[in-house]
Amino acid sequence: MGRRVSMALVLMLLFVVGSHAFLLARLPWREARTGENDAAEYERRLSAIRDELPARGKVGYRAEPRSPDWTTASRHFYLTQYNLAPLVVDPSAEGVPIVIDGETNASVRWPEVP
Amino acid sequence: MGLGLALALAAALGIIAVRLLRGADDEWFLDLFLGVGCGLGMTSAAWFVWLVLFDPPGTSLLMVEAAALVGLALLLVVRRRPANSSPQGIDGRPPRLLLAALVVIVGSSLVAFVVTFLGEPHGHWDAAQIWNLRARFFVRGGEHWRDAFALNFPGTHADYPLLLPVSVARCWNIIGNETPLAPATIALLFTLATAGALGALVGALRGATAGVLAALALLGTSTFIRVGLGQIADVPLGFYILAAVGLVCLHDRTGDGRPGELMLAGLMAGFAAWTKNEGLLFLVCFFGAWLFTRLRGPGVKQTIQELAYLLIGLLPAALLLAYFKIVLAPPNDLVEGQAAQSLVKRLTDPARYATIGSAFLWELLYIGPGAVVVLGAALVLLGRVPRESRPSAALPGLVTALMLLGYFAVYATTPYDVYWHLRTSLHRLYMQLWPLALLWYFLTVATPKEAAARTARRAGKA
Repeated sequence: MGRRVSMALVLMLLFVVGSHAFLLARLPWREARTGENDAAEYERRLSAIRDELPARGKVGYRAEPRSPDWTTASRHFYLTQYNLAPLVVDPSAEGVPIVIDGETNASVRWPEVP
Repeated sequence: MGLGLALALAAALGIIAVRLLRGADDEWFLDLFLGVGCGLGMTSAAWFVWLVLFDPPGTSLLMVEAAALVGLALLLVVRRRPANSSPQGIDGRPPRLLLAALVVIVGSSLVAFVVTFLGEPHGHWDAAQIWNLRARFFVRGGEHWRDAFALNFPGTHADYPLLLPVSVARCWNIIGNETPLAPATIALLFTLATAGALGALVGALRGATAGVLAALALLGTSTFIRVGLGQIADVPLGFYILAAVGLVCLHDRTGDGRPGELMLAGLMAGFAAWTKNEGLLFLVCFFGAWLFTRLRGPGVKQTIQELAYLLIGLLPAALLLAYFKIVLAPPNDLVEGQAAQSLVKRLTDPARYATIGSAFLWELLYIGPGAVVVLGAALVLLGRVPRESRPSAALPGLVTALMLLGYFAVYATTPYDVYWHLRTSLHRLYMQLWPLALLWYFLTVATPKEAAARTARRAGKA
């Protein structure tokens, strides 16, 4: 095998090893050890109110307080939707139970009866 | 146990279907890896049809799938053996060092799978927001499963095709619970099957050593593994894109007019469109590029015949997709958000093109990171494939280029903030094309054996 061929193979192997070192360093090791992740946290907080909500249909959504960061706020909304499926969670819905996504737990606010 | 059964049944159906359609007696690895993705596509399509016709299928569909497996297996046993098999590989066994490296990288990928699953059991952001969310609606919604398409927020992309969520829902339905292990294992299967299919395709076209190098290059790309294990649809789409183009390359290699390979290519192209909206762009690029490569090819009559085989394969997924898009899916946010005036403004803004162009370039360098630089250097060192043994790399090269142009056009016209759109999606779009780009690369670069022979020839002349 010539020198150029050996150099090409060594280059490729170094890339593969380096890329996987990069991969392994960026894995969620801490979350894997502790089992903590935001989806699991939302599963816990929303399972507490699931029985209060209808089996299907539409519910409203309010985050109190709403995160000033748009990305975090939308992540919280989508985690709520993910956990409450097959309910359709709609922040603009009115006249339906509203899921209050609080700082540490969730609650349900019912529409006022006129 | 239930999950293993559900996935093994899907894979077995696919492997036998691929084997029957290809009609080859060798290249087991190729049929194995192509079959895994094909089977997941077939069972997804069947489950969706059942869902539409009879609401959630329960486990009754499992019996139908098992019966289909027995029928296909019998067909495989009694089918007429082809007179000729595929050509022999170009070189023999790959070096042990490369095989050892492949084993290490597969091991490292499995470690990544375990840690990713334990740390992010519900997958990346898009998995919970789009794919697994839809699967929950299909399983939890009962006869009201169509509520999944009432979610009309931009991030939920209710117009995205359903191969992945239906595959997840099928597993959950068979198992009887919503274990996150189901979408995670499907993600792992697609990731490994894509690398395996690439290796086997390159192996069939360029020899075993090149095949192992191709599989190493793909599995060794950290971005590919991260995106692949994220339970999102980009790597599955990449699998079907690779499979469709690769099968046409295989068909052109043998030149013995196996219609089954073209039908299978059409089927895979259809599954690409059934996986993600970008799959529709792929259909346009694939058929456009294929027709272009036929301009200097076999003549009008044969081209029409081959096109018919491709379209026959495409038909099942195309029908599903047409039903989904016409009856169920809400309008696409990228199309609906367009207003003529602002579209013209976006299209006539040169700074926008510069932004997208530089993002394309930087993200390209970030693949791996540095994969493009390393592969470029290896191409310089090894040289191109000798002219006498050069397979046609026109189709994978052309499809990759057209897809990139299509992505560029989408960013140029997006109604969203272009910086946000690029930052959150470009790395995933690149992973849809990365397996195909590597197929093109390894059809273009000389194998170590060819490069060594060329060096020896030059030394002899000197």
